[in-house]
Amino acid sequence: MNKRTYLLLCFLQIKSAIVLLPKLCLTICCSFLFAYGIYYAGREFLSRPEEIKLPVALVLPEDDTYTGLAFSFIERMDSIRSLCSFERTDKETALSLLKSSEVYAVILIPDSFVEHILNGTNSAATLILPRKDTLESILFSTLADSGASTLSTAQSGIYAMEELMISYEQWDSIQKAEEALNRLYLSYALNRGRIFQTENISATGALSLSKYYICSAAVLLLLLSGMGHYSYYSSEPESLKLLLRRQGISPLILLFSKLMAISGIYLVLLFPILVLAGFLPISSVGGFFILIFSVQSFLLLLCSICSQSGSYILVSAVLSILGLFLSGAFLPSVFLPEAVRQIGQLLPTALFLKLCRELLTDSLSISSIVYGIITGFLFLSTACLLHRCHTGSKRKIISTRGFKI
Amino acid sequence: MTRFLLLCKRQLMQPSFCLLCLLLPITCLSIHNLEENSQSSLSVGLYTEPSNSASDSAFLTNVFTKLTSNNGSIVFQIFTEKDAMLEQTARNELDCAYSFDEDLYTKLLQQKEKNSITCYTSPSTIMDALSREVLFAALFQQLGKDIAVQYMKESGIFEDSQIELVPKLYHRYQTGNKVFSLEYQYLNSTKTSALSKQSSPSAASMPIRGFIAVLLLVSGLTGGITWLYDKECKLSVSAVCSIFIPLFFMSLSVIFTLFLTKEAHSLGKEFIICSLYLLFIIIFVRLLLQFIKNPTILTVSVPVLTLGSLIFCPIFVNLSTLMPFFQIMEKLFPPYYYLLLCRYIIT
Repeated sequence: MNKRTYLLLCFLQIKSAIVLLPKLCLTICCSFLFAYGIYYAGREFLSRPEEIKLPVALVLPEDDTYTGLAFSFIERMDSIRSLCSFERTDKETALSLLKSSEVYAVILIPDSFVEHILNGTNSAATLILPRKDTLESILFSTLADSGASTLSTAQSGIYAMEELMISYEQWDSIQKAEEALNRLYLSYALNRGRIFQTENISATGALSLSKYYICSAAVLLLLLSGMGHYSYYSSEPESLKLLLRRQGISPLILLFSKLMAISGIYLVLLFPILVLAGFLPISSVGGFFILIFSVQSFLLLLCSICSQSGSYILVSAVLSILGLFLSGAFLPSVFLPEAVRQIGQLLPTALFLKLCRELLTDSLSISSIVYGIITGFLFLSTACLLHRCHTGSKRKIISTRGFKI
Repeated sequence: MTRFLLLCKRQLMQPSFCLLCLLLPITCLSIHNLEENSQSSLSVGLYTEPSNSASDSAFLTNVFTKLTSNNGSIVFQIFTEKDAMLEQTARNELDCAYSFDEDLYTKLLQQKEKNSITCYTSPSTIMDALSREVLFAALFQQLGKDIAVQYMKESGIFEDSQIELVPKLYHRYQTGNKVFSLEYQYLNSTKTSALSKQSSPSAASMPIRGFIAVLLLVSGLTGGITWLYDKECKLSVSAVCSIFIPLFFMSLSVIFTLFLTKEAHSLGKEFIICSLYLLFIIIFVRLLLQFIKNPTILTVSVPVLTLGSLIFCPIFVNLSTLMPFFQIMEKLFPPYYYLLLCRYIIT
């Protein structure tokens, strides 16, 4: 095969790939509309930080004046008021609000709660969450545990002092001492922010939370936008393959040229937008091409496995979403169980995310580039092998029916 | 009927589709089993300079022991070298790190504790505020008895020998059930009563129902795409059948997955939820087919609907409670209604 033939092949593949442009543009436009909607909503949301409060339903015992007064006091505390908004209601309504996600949690206070605190009985309060294993439950319960621990610490100190005073019959001093110790504990709890000071460490390759999710969305978009590529990647008719082989164009070269063409289309479409938006520097064009090449080679492999476009769409959707979840694209991987995290790191989606993150932070490493190229060629080779197997089995079927090629 | 059976046969003749239906329950079960025995790995570093004061040293040792034995969502690690800790924070191996002043205990008792603990964060730090609360709770727990002892000494109510009993009493109240505590209950419990008492969670698990909802939506859409291609080939096939067939087989796999991963409560309830959701998807896709006649355009809608479902529906995080925009957008995507059905029928 000479150079001219190869260039002609590339040109024809680019022409084929351009046919996909309208589909890609439509997908990307809709995604950008979503992204703009989220950006706009987020900006409106964050511009009024005083309105960012977790709604919590509070179920207090009926006809319990003390508990009602105690919680009126707590609701008015600045530190609590800045985090949560409480809605007092009955148990059935509270559970209904929780089911419809109008509140994040329900706090059930048992009967005679304050009297129990005072006399040392201490019935436990119940915190009802929608599900155990979600991010919101983890965050909410961690905060609630910390708050409960602080309260129980203060109670332990006051009860210990009270018990000592009772055993030494210091009846007159109990109330005054309790109030003073209570104020002391409260001052530690309310002024706990003073203990800490923050120092920022600059870290190469570190992503802020917003950029982290931009990266995840970008890789998800690259994978999902490939759902319409089945017709482009699917095998040519046997007669055409025979003609191409006569010109010295093997299936591997054919698939490679397809990959290069579609990667070039993506590069031309997306790279200028990302550069203009300030996400990527112009120097990252090579790294971005390698990212697209590795993603497209993965999709090419999936096309080779699936016999119809319907099953290809399903398989690519499942593998993309599952792979990205396990690789920590949707929830930071620190929140995933350790075993799941380790498996996620072995998936191709972990490589795509890594490449994207390094591009966003302008810290693309040689090892990532090499790994991306090797992975891309590995998928390409496997896809080529599968194409040959399909061709071989088709020839066998035709030859058993008495047709000759 | 014959045509319907032929369409079913055509669907099952796709090896990748059958493989997907078979592998889905196995994969979800494997991940579920891994999740059950694992904890999350949000790591936070702790460091302090060696102290000359025995009380300061003992206090920080107790605090560190309390934090490192904590089985919550945050894993605290003690470092003997500050630079190593800061390096790991910079490399994102630690979410953040804390350095304690060696005389923290003395400063706390004197209420001169301002800026005694330095929190080191990097651009990718996400849980510094949360770890700060956990750290303070542990600190306060160790300090609690000393605050009481110091107050009693200063007030002059008791003699020193009498005050020595306070730590023992304090410990008894801390470890007994006589102080405030929280019990957790979850709506999605599979126990016979609607709510059951369990411990607080430490790691997020895969949102299987959310994935299933998106998967069934994509199955329905692929059925619609197949129908449009059949129409181009002049095959006389019912649109509803074309949409229903992949949905039906996928839903069988899905129900099996739910039971294997113990997400399902009862066969009857799962059957009702699945049937209603299947009906909803059939109507949704059929309505789409009224406006979209080109299979290429319908193929383009698949990633858009998938992306929208993953972002706006409460699959990973429920933001609709906080942001009205999400409350509107989530209603445009079918998976929201599946999750709503699950919430109302199961709990």
